Amino acid sequence: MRRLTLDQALLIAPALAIMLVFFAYPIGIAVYFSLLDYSLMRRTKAFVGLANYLHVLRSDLFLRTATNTLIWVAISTVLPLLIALVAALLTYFRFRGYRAFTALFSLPIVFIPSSTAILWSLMYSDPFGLVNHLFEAIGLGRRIWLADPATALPAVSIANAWYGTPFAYLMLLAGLESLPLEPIEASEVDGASSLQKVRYILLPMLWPIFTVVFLLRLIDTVRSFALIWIMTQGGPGTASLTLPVATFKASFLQYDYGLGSAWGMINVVLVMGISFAIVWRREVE
Amino acid sequence: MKGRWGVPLVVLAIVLLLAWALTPLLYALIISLAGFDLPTKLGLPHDLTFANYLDALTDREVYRATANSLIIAILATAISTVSSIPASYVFSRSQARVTSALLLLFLFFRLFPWIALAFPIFLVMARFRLLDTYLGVSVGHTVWIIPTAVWYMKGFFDLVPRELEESAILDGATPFVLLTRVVLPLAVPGMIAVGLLAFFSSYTEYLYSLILTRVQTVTLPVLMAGYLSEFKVEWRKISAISMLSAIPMLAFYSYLLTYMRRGLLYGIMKG
Repeated sequence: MRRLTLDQALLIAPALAIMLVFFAYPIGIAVYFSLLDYSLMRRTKAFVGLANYLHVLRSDLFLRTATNTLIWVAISTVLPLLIALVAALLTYFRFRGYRAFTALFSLPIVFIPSSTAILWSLMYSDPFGLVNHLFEAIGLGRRIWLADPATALPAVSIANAWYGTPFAYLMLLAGLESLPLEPIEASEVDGASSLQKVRYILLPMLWPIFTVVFLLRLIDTVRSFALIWIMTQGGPGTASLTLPVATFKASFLQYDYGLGSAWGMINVVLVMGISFAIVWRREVE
Repeated sequence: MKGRWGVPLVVLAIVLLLAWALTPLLYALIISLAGFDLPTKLGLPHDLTFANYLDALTDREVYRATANSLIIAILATAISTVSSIPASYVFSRSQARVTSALLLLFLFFRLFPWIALAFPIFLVMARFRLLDTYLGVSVGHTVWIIPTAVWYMKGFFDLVPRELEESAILDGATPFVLLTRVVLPLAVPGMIAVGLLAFFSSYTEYLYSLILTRVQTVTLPVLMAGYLSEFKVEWRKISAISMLSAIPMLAFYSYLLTYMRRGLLYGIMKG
């Protein structure tokens, strides 16, 4: 049957209705607003075409935000993926106590983002933070990590890397365990060492799954908001301002509906670009 | 690993990996148990106490926010499962062009940047007078749960053999009867998984709770985040609240681990 029956349409209707009223319709509003000079502060509402987009893209703030987002994304994808890969490979070889290791290593997933922000703000706090205790103990001195423009962004990114590690680990481990066993067994017959197995068999076979985990992680860090907003609110100044945080500030703190919506749509273009890469990969495989 | 350095290297790697995962968590646990003096240099606090936990548990604000979080999560779970299970059944069975187009649309909803919807949904909720209401916040969560739930549940329905349905169709069953009498009883594990996914998505959510709540419906994540912007941060108490807020996830921990392994790959990889 190439057409939907009435019964089938009725079964889809509730989910579709919610998505249309509370997703598609608001997005339509945002697209429309992004073409207006519409500010509650300046009391304006007039059609200006793509002027808001040009204004945002040409601003120093956007350049700063784009650079920050790149650093944020780089640290919070590469670091957890590498750590997770090592952990997943070790677990795959089932050393003694590997089950306990999996349970302990994945423990960060029980915390909500707000708790993660609290845990890491505590780690970085000045009089009481463990990071400062450790730095002092090895003679490097104390810092105000989250209030220093030089360290705020890397510090928050590391917290995000910590939060993302178990997700990457569990997915990579599942990927490893889904690999066919024959090539690995064959290599054992040939007397390959564990390192050789990893280098020549497991890593090449894992590569497609690794790419998908990477892309999913990428998309989640590009659009992530909570951790940065709670820990630094994009500050000090603009030091840890990323694309979603800048968008939030433009819409909710400056009451500029036009510019805020344009910021939002720039997020959409970027994230949808990465989504296409994911969907495209899916079709290819 | 063979060779003289193999075993020590593996042990070292395991220790480092566990240190990465557990240090922030153990440090907050220690602080949550600390008495009057917090450590200002490397070392343990002088006295340990459960007073901070008592403090957190008897705080009316915390109590209120936890209740709000649970009510909203239950509402969001109900709305999203009731709407997405029938839809995903059709997505699994129908070969109409509309369905595959809609399924792709749901995938893009799922991957959409959260922040881009924040402001316009705030305006729509304001127009419908749903700001700071349980219904408004849970619908705000639901629009993010439905796309994931649909894909996940479709994967489960794909595994239910069609032979049973075909014989029921010969007996004249409508799709609704098929779904409720024949297919759903076989898809119970999937429904439980989707229910938990919905519940935890809502329970942990921050951005939409932040913009759609004001006073009455403030959730636990929003309340907790607010503590960090106070002039004098009460580390002991908020560490204790962080530990307590993890209890629901800890209760389903082994389930969450298997869900993460299978679930996250399901929608995207096997869809």
